[in-house]
Amino acid sequence: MPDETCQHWAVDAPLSAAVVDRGGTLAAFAGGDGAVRIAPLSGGDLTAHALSEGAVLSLAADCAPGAFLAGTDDGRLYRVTAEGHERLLQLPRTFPEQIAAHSCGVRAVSDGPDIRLLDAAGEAIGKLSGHASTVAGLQFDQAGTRLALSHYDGASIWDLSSQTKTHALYFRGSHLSLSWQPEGRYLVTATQEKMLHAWDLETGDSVSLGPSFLKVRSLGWSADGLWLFAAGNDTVSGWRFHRGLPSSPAAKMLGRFSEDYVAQVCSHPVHGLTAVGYNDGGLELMVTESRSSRHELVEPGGTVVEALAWSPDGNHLVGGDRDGRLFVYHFDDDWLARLINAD
Amino acid sequence: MAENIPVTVLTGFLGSGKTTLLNRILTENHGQRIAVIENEFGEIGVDQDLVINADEEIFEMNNGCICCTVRGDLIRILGNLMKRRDKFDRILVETTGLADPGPVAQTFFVDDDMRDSFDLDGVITLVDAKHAELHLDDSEEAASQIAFADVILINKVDLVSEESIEALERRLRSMNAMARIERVQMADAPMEKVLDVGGFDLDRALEMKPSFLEPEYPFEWGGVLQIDGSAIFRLQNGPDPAMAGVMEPIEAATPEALMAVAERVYPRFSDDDTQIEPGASMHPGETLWSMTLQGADHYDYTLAAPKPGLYALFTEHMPEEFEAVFLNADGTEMPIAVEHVFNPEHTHDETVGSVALDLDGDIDINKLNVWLTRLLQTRGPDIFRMKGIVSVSGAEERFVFQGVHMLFDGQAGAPWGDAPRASRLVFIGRNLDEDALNEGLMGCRAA
Repeated sequence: MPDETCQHWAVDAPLSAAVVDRGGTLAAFAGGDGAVRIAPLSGGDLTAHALSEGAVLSLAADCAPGAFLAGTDDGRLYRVTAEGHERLLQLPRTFPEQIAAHSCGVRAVSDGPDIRLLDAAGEAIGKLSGHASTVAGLQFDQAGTRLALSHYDGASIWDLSSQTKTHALYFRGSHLSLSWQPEGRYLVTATQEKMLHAWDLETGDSVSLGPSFLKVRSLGWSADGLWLFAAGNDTVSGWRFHRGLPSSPAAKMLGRFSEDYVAQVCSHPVHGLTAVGYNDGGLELMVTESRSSRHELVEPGGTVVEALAWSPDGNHLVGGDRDGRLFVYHFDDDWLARLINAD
Repeated sequence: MAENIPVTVLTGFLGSGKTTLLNRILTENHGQRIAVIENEFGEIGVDQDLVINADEEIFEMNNGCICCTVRGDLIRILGNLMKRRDKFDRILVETTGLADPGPVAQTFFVDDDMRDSFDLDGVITLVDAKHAELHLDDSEEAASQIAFADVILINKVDLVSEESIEALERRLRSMNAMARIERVQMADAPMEKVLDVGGFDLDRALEMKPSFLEPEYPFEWGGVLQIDGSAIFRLQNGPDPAMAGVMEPIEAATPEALMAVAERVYPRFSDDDTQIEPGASMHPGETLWSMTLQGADHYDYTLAAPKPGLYALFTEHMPEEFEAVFLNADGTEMPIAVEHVFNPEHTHDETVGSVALDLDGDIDINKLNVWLTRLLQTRGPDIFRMKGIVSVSGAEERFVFQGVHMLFDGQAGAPWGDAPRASRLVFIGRNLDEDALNEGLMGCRAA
């Protein structure tokens, strides 16, 4: 078996999201043509599930292994598996743009400014309301007991067992997405104004980070929760969160300089390694605290990398670009260890 | 790189026929596939795949730009639509009757993705001929919809009189000198007047021809008479107990000559008047005569000509309001050679208006930058739209720019060649001070 293998496909639709299922056996790709395409990570053909005349807007791993949730721009929420798909919800006048699920058996779907909560069987179990605008970012904490979401003028955190809002985090502007640190201490949003805003939930302090050249479309944390990485500049932007919020809003510039900009960042679930996709189609792996140690997977010269995701075990990286080029990489443990220790 | 998708914004007062126009645009055979972002669910009556409902979610930026409000929902929805880019040719955004078009327009300037993918083509404002005056009287949003418009469609013109349409047009024109005003019935606007307007297109800025109202006069009527000796001006009782008038020799019985004399006698109407009683004579010259028009059935005043010839008479009110006639000495009616109805001074004290500034010669671009930046910082919320063609010293090309509130966009335009170098700036806004703006621009002249 080779150290690094890649499967790829070309489909005639821009990619809007890519996800690996909770069991780590399937990759799913959401397309602008209304289809969700599923491929086994172990190798095999792509199966297309046509869901909509419009686009598939959102995609998430469902509660149980082997299944995904997909939201379409005709207002429907589907559960999709390798074998087929079923409709869970039809929203009357909005689109399920933000969806998330947790292995403990809860699903959250945005319905304009509200969040609908469903259980694993698809039954409605609650509704979270009263947000300043349509919800733009959605994430469970690691335990699945709390839900964070972003909207105009800040973010909110809800306790799911009591369905009460525990935090109303205010900062003026439009907050387009969010990322919760794995330990749950820091919550960071990306704003319309090409800034990030970070809250320390322990102290109640907050700070603006940036700015970047472009709106930040992708942000996330290193596996150890010490680094926040963001796209939107000509290098990866990084901030270290060590016993508190960063003291400077300016980002550390990590990885290679690009002629174009960083489009996607996605940190490895175990190692200090981050996958970086560029607007020019380039794709590489960057060893977190090193300038020199990186591994190029795709040369620049293509189109915008639209999505990246790791399998839970960290042996597969999936993603694709705006032209519909989809990929699944496989890296075995020895190969990853060699890359990290090469520095 | 694919071409940018044109976006038309459709605004209109409540009940102005926006939905009718929208349905017309969607059903008319213009060969274009239009994606519509509508503000109320299910308002559109036709089968249409690409109708998306939006909730007009406006947010304030945190960047210190005091008037920077943006439609975040549009950024999101248009971003989603771009995933099926091959399904439509243009976008139409409908706003509610109560919406200020500012945030929609600003959205296309503030957001990089919107700028990269879309071109704001024009703001179309639909008003209802019958109720527009009422809306304008009590709604700030109605005024801003007029101020932002590239095209104003006066709908339902078949339901009101010609005079009231003209009065409405005058009022709209006084607020927005840049917009094209069209009259329509049943929202039957020709598509070419609604789509491809180019209102925000800098390449088409040279087509900019503001049409300001002719100046307002303190008199409503002027006429030319051939008087050999004297004429009788006979009036009946009318709406006022007195009326001011001025008599003046005139070179020719032409509209041009009459307008020229009107300009000359204009200041006299602010002088003290000389009150006269029926039977008295008015003479040509400096005097502002005030004819007493009460206490009898009719009133005769003599127009005394020092020598035979053409004379112009200007009256404060329309002579027909007093059933007035001109008579020869023998009692026969004297014909009026030429006459003109002048714009009365406007009755609506609009706070929204337009100002055009013209300046011959060159402008120092640095001074212009400093002036405009300061102007927009302090007056940005009051300046709805701004366009300009500038002759920059040392530059071979025209500099063209436009702005929406505090947002500003400029580029080099066509070369001057042999054309006379001059600058023109047009502002549409609230409480604009023409003198102060003019002074500011004068301060930008190149040394």
